[in-house]
Amino acid sequence: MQEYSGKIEFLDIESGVWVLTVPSGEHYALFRAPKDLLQEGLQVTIQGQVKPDMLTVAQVGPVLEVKSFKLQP
Amino acid sequence: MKFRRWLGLCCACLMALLLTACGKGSTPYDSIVVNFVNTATPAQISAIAKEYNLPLRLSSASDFARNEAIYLFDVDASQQGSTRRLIKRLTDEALIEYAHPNYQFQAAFVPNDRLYPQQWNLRAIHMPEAWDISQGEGVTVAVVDTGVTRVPDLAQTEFVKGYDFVDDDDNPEDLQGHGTHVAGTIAQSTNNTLGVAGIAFKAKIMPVRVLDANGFGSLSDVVEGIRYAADHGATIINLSLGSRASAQLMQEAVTYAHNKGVTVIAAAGNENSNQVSFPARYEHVIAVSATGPNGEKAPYSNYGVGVDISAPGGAKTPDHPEYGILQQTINRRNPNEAVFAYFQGTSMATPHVVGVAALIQAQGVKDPDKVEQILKMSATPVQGDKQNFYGAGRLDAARALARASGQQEENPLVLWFKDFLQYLNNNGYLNPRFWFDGGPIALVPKLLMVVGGYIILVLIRWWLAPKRLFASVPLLAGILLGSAGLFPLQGLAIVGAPRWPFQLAGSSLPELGTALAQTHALNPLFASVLIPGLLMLLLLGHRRWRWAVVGLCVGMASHLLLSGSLFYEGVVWFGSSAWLGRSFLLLNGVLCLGLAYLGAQASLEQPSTALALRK
Repeated sequence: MQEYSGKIEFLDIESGVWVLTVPSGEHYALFRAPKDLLQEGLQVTIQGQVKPDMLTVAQVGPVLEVKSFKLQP
Repeated sequence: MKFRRWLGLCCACLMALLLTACGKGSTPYDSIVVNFVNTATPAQISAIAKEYNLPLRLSSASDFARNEAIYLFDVDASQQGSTRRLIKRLTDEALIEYAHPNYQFQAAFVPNDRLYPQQWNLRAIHMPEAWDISQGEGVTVAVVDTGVTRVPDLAQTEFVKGYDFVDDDDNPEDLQGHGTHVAGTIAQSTNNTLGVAGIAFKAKIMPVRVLDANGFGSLSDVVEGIRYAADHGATIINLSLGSRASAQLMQEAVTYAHNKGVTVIAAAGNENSNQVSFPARYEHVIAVSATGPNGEKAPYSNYGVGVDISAPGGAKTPDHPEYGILQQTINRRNPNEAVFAYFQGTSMATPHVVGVAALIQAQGVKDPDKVEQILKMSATPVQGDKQNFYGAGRLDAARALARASGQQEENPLVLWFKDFLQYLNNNGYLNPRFWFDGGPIALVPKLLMVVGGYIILVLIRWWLAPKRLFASVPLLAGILLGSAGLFPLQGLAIVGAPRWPFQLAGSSLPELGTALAQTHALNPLFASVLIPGLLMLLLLGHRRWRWAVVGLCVGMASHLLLSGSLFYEGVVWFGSSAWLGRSFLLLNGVLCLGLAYLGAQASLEQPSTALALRK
C-alpha cells in the first residue's frame, strides 16, 4: 500500500472520469473510490494500490484502487 | 426442316444469353467524376482540362463540390474502352485523387437523420461518397466494452448474441454509456430520420461486456471477451480500452483473433504521451490516435511508436462541446434514459476506423492484413509528422472504399506491386515502421545534399589545387554535418525512450534550429552563413579543425542551395512568402560557398597544413 497526494479532478474524456492529479501532472484513474472523495478540487492523500492488470475506457493513466483517504490541511 | 428449327432455337438462346451477359456488365453511365486533391488551384484544374480536352464542370453548385474539387465531364457511353483508358490516365495524375464512372445509381448518400448536420466527423472522413459504395452489409463487429444498450437510435441496427463477462450472463447491457456511444459511431440506425448516423449502419453489432459501470475491467475479462468475439463470428473487434501495462495474455488474445482472420482495432490512449497504450501497441492491432474538427491531433491523444492511423475523436472546449463526437447513448446517472451526448477520446476515434473496416470487409476484403493495408494506404498522409501523431495519416472512408472495391478486379501481384509503390510514395520511401517510425525521412533530398557537397568539394579542389587531394576525415565529417546529418537517426525510435535525442543527433546544422518542432521549415539562425562564419573566424588557425569548418561550409552550401531551389519547405519567421525564404537560403548558400572557397585557399597557403593533408 502506498500514499498518493494530489488534487481530485473530473476529466471530460470519454464518458468522463474521476482522477487524482499528482504534482507532476500525472493522472491516476480512481477505482473503488468512495462517493465523498469525488469532489472537484479536493486536496487529498490517498492510501491505495496501483492495479497494472486493470483496463479502462478512459486511458488517462494508471488505475489506483482507493483503500482510504484523508483530506490535506 | 426439324433440324433447322432446332438450329434456330439454339441460336436464339445463345443470342439471349449473350445479350444478358453484356447487359449485366455495363451499368449505365454517361459522365465521369473527377475528384482533384483539395490543394489543386483553379489554374491547375483548367490546365488538366485543357491537356485532356475535357469539358469539366463542378459536380454540383454546393460548397462541398467546390471545397472538395469534385468535377464531372460527359462521355460517349458507347466508347467504354477508350473511356476506361482515359480514367486510368487521369487517376495516375498527381493532382487527381480519383476518377470513376458516374454510375446513374450513384447519387451521394446523405442520410436524413435530424442531427446528421452536427456530425462534422463523418464529413471529415468523406462518408457520403463511401456510403454510395457500401453500408456494411453482412459484417459482424464486436464491441468489447462496457456493454451496449439498445437505445432508440439503435432500434433498426442488427444485433447478434453477445455476452457479459463482468456479471457472467447473457445480458451485456451497458450501465456506463461508453460502449453504447462507441457502437453508435459504428452502426447507429441511419436514414431513420431520428438522431444521428453511424458509419457501417447495416453491419451487425455483437455486444461483449468486459468493463463495469465505472469503465474499469480486469485483464482476464477483456482477454476472454476478445477470444469470445473471435470464436463467435465477429470479423472486427473494437477495443476502445487500454492499460499502460503490457500483458502476455492480452498479446496472445489479439494474435489469436488475428490468426482467425479478425481485424483488431484499438485506442492509442488519452494521456497526451508518446507511450501508446496496450493492447493498441501490439503487433496485429491497428492503433488509432484522435484528431479534432480541424484535423490536428487532439490535445489528449497519445502518439508515437505504434500509432497506425488517426481518425476524428473530438477536441471539446468549454465553449464548444459540439467539437466532440455526437452519438446516442445512455445517461450515466440514469441508465434507463437515452441521451445524445458529445464524447471525446481515442475511444471515439477507434470506432471510426472500425466502421470503415466493416465497409471494406463488406466489399469482400476479409484478410486483416489487407484491411489494414487499405486503411493505411488510403489515409491522407500528414507532412512533417515527426513525432508520429497520425501514423499513416488521416482516415479517409471514400478513398478506402474506392480502393477496396477495385481490389477484386486486378491481379493480386500487380495490385501488390502498385500498392507497394504507392506505399513507398506515401511514406517517404523506405520506412521500416517498427524501428523507424518517426515519420518519413526524405531520403532523396538528403542523399542529393551529401552528393552536392561532394561535388562542390571536387570543384573547389579542381579550381584551387588539382594535384593536392585534401579529402581528410574532418573535412568529410564537416560536409556530412552541414549537408544531411546522420539522418537515419531521426527515424530511430525505441519503445519507451523519448525521441528528441535522436532528432537532435540526426539533424544537420541547418535543420538544428527546428529539429524538435513539428515542421520541416528551417530556422534562419541555423540555416545561414552565421554559424559557419563564426566557426571559421575561431578555428581558421587550427591545423585540423579548420578543415572541418571548410567541410561544414561546403555541406551547408549544398544544403542551402538545394533547400532554396528543389526542396523548399519554408523558413520560419518569414511568413508564407516563398520567394523571400528561397532568396534567403540561396543567398546564404552562395555565401557558404564563398566562405568554403576562401577557407580552403587560406588553409592551403599555410604549408604545415598542406603537408599534413597531402597524399
